[in-house]
Amino acid sequence: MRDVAIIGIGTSRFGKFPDRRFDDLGAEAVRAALADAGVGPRQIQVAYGARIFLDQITAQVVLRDLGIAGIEMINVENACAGGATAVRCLWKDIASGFYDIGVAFGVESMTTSPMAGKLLAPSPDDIDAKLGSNMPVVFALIARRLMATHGATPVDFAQVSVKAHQAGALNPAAQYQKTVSVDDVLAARTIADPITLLECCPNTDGAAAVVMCSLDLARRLGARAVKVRASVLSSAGYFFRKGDLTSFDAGRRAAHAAYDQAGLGPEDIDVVELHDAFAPEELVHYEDLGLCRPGDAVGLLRSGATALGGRIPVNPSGGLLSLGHPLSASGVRTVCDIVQQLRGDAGARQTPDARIGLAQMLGGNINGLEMGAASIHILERL
Amino acid sequence: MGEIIAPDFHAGVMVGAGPDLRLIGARCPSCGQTFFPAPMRCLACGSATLGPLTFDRSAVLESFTTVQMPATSFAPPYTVGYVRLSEGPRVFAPILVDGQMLTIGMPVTLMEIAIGRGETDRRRAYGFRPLPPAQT
Repeated sequence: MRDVAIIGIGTSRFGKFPDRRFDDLGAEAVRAALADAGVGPRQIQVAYGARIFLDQITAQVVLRDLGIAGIEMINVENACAGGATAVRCLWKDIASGFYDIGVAFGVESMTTSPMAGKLLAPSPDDIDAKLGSNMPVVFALIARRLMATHGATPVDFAQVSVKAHQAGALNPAAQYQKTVSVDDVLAARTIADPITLLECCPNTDGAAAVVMCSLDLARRLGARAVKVRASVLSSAGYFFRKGDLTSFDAGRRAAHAAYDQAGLGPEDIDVVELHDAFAPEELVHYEDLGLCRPGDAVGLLRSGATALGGRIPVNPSGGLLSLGHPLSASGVRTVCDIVQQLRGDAGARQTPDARIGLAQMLGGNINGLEMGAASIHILERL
Repeated sequence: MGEIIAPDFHAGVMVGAGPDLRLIGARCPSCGQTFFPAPMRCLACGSATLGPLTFDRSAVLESFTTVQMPATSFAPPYTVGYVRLSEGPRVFAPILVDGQMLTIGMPVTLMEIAIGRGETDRRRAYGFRPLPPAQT
């Protein structure tokens, strides 16, 4: 295994663009990542494309007009963790020496998908889906447990959204560039109590891409490289083994594996991007990532430590709640945002002197398993 | 309650009808792990054979939410939650509320319900409702 670096990042606009094709969004992100890396299309040796909705050979279609064809291309799906899975697979190819340089991207056109305007549900054949389960329901049930076991209140959940929108308002790439108040969030219509509309991520169209290569090649290219300290992907365990609803076993397992691989601990992390599709879940991830002790998530949030300017900013991009959530793009986008932080390019949202950052993404909801997949990347400024 | 004449919403998870409705799953004769629904083999110890298990009707409410957006078979508002069956499994299910205040930890009992989008799409399913206060 050899050291791997990220040398280019790129994202498309995030928002509702029902008139833009997925390949147009994807190409915008990949073109930006190639330009950022200073790499031409013919240098790319392998490509991973992630997408859920809805047809075939996404990578081939997205890369076609960029002048990338004929190389090995792999299309992946892993619910909301699809993009992170593409990044992880590219890392494996380069770390193991199969290839020296490649691109991983995720793209989703949610407004043209069959899920547009609906609550994301598991497979229609799933027993829980038939009985009314969907993503906001899952997180609402977690939220109610957090209220019972952690002393969390609706104001705490609202505060997660307020924090996300404060960051998003400073991010020119965000879908919602406006702040909201706790009162705004609580007054928004209820989706699945205690979750309100402003505690749900929006339908978003968008794409994100990274160019990755061996650290040796990055140095020869003179690129602005960020080193990959850990790349982890874990799938969910059985639901019958799950303890309380307020923790994801797969999330904890991925975190332990990532810290182990990096030779680091949660105390070494300067900035975090994570899956905040629904506001209450951010509290679960604080504990699963070890940002605080089990049971202390509410205290960590209330302390302001995870806000912009805090000890350990979480989602300084605005997160899925404000930046938006094009499902398969988000797991690449979180990596892009951590690279931006480690380069010192995050402007008003910059974490001072960020050296180590963590990008987490998870997804999936199906009966019998506690979720779908969890991925973590830990990156280091060189 | 009127008789529900409709196909089951999901095969192999219920037996009986009306007040005799029960959920059916499996128990591993080797390690004792209980499952709902029944898997093909024991997911805990790997044993290839599982014994059938008919669950008691009683359960405890672990969490609940009332949903204000439509789902495939439900018009809003509808309430769902996780209940813990007496024999162990945690089950996602509709929760039937009739004016009661739901609380985590309250006892609930199985009941037969109909789900679907109308007369032409009606299936028999299970739900849970709070137990009435104990009679003195």
